[in-house]
Amino acid sequence: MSAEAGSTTGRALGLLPIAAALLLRERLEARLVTHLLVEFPLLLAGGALLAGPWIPARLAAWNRGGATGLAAAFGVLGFFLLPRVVDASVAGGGHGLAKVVLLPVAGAALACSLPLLPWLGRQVLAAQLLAMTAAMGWLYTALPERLCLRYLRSEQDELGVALLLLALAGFLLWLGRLLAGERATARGPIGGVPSPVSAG
Amino acid sequence: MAEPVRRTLAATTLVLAAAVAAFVLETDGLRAFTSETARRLAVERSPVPLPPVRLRDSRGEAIRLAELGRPALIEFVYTRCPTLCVALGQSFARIQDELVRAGAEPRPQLVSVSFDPVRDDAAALAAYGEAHGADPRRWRIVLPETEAGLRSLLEAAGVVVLPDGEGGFVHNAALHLVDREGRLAAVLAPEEIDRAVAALAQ
Repeated sequence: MSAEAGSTTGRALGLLPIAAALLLRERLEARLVTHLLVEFPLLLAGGALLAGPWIPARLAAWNRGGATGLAAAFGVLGFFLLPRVVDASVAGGGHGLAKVVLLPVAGAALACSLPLLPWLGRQVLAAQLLAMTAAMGWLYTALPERLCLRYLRSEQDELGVALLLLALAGFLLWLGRLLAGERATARGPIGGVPSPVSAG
Repeated sequence: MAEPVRRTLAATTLVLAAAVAAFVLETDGLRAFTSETARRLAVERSPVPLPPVRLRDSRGEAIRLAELGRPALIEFVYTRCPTLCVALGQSFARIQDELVRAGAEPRPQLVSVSFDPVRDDAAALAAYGEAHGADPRRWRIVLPETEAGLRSLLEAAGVVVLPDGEGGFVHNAALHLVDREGRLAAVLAPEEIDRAVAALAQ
């Protein structure tokens, strides 16, 4: 199989998570934690796979360092995480449709833009995202009132704990990769990943 | 500045402006991040007509909100509720006391609407009224006559009722002000007693 055919197959695989999210939509949206931590990632991953790390040369000139794509992706993600939008997108209608279209677009924007972000930028972004995930997790467990009318207060707790665990797992992974990168650099640069010291 | 940098700056600015515009529009000018706040703001901007649902009280008498002829407050409850509905009932009891103290003419201006047709029969409605000291001349405890009527009333008022998994329900806790035309005119917090009493006197 040629590299091009392989890449096309890889992209076509992106339809699978999107199809899964659409088919299981009702079940996933029945719980807050599966709505945000299964349906959202499936839609994002589908878009990312469909796009691949590929960006037309004409568009690349408008996305230096991945800035435009990242702004678009996090703008879309932030919008659909607003509690009233979470409610509205469960009820169906325009918000629900916009979600299943725009989250894959955000995933595609991420896939096209993250590889363009310099190494240090990726580390800063990862640290920022981990901190935000942990903060959101704490907020969801600490707030006494229900944020979403369509979900129970206990589901907020469930989501909060899941986000805190996700942030912890992400932090450990991030730390492990940093340390592994450092060791690899100490033995000799491999794959062009600089250590934090050399990057600074 | 290199051309791609200029273009990227322009594109990023455009994307960020679109994102900020979407956030501002969706949150009513950054004032409503939750559906409940959005519901309160929307009702205050423009009163919402409520369907002319027939409501039957614990004594078997039928009423319609638009036929009360005076501003009224409605709360949505289920009588077995151990938490929110008790607080709502206490708010209504305090408002009833204030109306008596102010010498207001005894007319039905307080309506507790049950959304649990399975368990809230006439006896349960009467027991809820008794437990909170409801005077039937001022405060009616009712159940919509049909399930379709109940659903349309909840939907029009923006009230979402969810089973809590333990045999009860979770729902919005608020006092709903209905104007003389039977339109939902404001959504008040259960502790906004003074505002509720002033609205009923108008």
